Amino acid sequence: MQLLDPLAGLAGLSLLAIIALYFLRARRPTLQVPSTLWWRPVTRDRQAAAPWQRIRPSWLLLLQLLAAGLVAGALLQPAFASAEALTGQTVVIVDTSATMQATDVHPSRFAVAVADARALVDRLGPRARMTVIAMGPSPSVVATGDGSDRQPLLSALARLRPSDGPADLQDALQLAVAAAGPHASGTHLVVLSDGITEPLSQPVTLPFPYEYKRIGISGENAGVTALYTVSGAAGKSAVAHVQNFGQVADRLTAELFANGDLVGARAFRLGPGAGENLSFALPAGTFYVRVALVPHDVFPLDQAAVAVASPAQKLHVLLVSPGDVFLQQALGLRPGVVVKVETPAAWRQSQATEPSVDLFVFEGFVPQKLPADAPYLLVGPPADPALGIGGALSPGPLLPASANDPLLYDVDLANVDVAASANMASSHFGNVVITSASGPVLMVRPATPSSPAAAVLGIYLHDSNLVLRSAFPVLLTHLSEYLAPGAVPAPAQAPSTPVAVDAGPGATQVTVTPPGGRPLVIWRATKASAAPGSLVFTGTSRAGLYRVNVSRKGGRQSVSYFALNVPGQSIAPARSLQVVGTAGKALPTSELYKSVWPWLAAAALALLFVEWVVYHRAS
Amino acid sequence: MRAPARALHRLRAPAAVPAAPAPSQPGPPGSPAARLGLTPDILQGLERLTIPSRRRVLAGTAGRRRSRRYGSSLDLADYRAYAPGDDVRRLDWSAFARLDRLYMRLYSGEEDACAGIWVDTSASVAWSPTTKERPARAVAGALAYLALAGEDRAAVVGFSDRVVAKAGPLRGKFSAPRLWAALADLPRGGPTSWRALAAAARMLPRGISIVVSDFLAEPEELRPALGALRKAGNELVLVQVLSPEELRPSLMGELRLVDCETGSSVDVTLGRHALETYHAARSEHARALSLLAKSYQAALVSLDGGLPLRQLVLGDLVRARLAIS
Repeated sequence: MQLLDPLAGLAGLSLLAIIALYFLRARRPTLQVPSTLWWRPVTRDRQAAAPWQRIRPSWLLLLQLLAAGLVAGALLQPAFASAEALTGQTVVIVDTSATMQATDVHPSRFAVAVADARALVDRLGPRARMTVIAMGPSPSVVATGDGSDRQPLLSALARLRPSDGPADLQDALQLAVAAAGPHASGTHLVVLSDGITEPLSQPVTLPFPYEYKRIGISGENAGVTALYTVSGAAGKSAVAHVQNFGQVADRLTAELFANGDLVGARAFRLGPGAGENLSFALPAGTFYVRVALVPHDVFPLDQAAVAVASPAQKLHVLLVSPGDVFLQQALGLRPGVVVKVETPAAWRQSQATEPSVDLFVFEGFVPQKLPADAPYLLVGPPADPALGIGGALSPGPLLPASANDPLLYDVDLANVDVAASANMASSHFGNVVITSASGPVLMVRPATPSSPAAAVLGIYLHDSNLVLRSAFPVLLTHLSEYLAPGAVPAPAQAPSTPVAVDAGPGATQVTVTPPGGRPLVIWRATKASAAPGSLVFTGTSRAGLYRVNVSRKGGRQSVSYFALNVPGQSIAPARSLQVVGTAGKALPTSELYKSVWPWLAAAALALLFVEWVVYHRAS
Repeated sequence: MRAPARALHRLRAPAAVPAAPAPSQPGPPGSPAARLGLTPDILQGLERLTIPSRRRVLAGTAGRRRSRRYGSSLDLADYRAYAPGDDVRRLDWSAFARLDRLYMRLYSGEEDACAGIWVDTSASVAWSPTTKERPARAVAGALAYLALAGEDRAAVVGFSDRVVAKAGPLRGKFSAPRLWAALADLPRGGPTSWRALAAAARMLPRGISIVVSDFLAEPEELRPALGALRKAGNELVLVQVLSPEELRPSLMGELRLVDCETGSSVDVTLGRHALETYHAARSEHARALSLLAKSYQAALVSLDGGLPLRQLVLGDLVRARLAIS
């Protein structure tokens, strides 16, 4: 046993003080005063003025002495050494991504990670601090606490749930560095993960040592990597690609469900690392399909996929351009889109009213008569006074005009260099989406009753590296969805990805029902709000089929669907993290003492209660 | 383009006053003024006084104080861009001609303040009905009259461990008897809870909050209440009323002193040295209270309830600049 605060032994003098008070106790006449506030200091002088008296044996005295003795003993903080305790600051990153739901370790990787985190919390020393970060699609600090109060940390760990999305290691590490604050020297990072994370966009150097505790033992997994529907002469069919990511051959059966009903099954064998394309004919009237692999392996989440059947309707895009493969390709990325290309010389004014075109794209060319009914996109337009567009200039770095513009979700403008762009500084074409030091670079305007939706991208694509950046197809897809929404369903995406939902004209309410969840009203018309056009739904944490219900004026309802799938992937735990720093260093520890002072304090409290009872009985 | 720098704005009572009865004689027996001890000569003296306001106030209706809101006085306070639906009358058409842009004129308004008078009715104040409770309520009544006479609104709230009574806000001198009656009829007794006052801080319109109490509490206990009143946008005035027995105790010998609010007791042996310790504690409390008041930009005045009421109202309040002529 060890006394953690020996100096507190001085509190034993209180026993003498109690005895002294018994010498001084005297009966006094009682007088009521407004307050004893100013009289309290006087009591301190009373002892000097009071006469001494002989002390008599008393239960009260005995009980008070015992209580004071216990309090003094508690203040000494007697404690027994019990274990090694963590010291300093520990930041724990718990992976909550989809692959942590794998059951190659019992009961699951996620449960093991949480249990490991709880064990670390239990080892916290009295002054040691801990921060817990959940590493999912959007990492966040879920709890901060210290050894003196572990409950917030344990409660936060109990509330953690795995997501169906990926793990963003970059953000999690940045959060860890921020959580360490200026005390990086005393900080240690523990990453409880299987190491399957999104690739780092830039190298991360940690200012403190870290320990990557790999969770998971198996990489044996087969999953559905793609599922889509196609229309042919014989009707609709579903195509699924299944991949074996493991080292052992697998016998599997793929079951196909159309609108929830089992309509087909195919047994096949997949060698190690092999893939298989499976095609199923779909019955008429199928609006969504689901493929599921049986038997389940340790990661069933990627063994099922859902896809919304493509409608017969196509989106016809007419690209008027001298020739730009990148642009044509990016425009054709949306499923169901048919891109037709014409040169400006072949462009006919009559086409501007042609009903078969759903979206016009003019590159380096502005027709005399812009389409009156169909939406259009101008890319790298020449000077046009009617549109307020001037000659070429060098815009400098590109910047988002608004922090949360849905058109710029996942569009990284940081590495885009533009040598020449149309001068749109004096243009009032529409809302600015991308701007620069020289003025707007991308402007959009929504549809009105008298004019279609339109956008103008000032960048001359041949004088920019934009077409070479991943931002380009994303931006073009967003623009295409903004200008001509709803004609084709969005392709299946990964969970936790924001999804654009088209409300369309006349909408009064938009409701989204997640898989297995309750309907969520994401927009409701008010007198002040205009028709929303395209909405962004971010509650996409779960994989599966989402139902979108749009109520329109007159009580009409329209229903559409979108699907989110966990893509088939390797679940082999990574051997290391791509992090620059000191790895594998043991956590700093010191001896952990189990203190008994609370018991002594409780006993003292009980004695004081007994003393109170004795006193009142006596009086 | 803000309004001119803020200045000391005063409320001045109108010259006309009711006919004054004989000095130092209370009004009709049983009248609210008489029950508080507010004699006609005291009321006549109050007519020459006004409550100073050191800050611009933010209140509800037109009065004599400069407001932080924009109103319709002739002092131009600011401009802002025109928005559809704005009052076209305030459109600055000359600015449009010069700048080709539309702007709206904004003016600094004049509004009245509400004097919220919070009166402590706890057992410690009621401990001495003649030298503490009555002077406290009379001073509160005098301050309410000053506010009403200055064309401001006034309200009275009695509190102990909760709000026990409320009257007002009322406007006009003719409302003074109602407030005086409310003051005279306030219940008495119970412990003081400053947290209760904090919780009720927003029950009155913003303006000037006058707290009349003995403030027999650790200054730190007062912080929530003062903070809440300040946060509610009020200028603060603290009026401490103490009895002669508290200011100059004449107790001697061995005594057990029992707190009339909490029931806690202290055993004391009183002699010259003990009384010196008592006065030192009182001085220290006064110093801490003064520091606390300064930290909330509150005016603080301590009154001896044993002095004649006329001297308290027309002398001490003026000396403390709670009322100025």
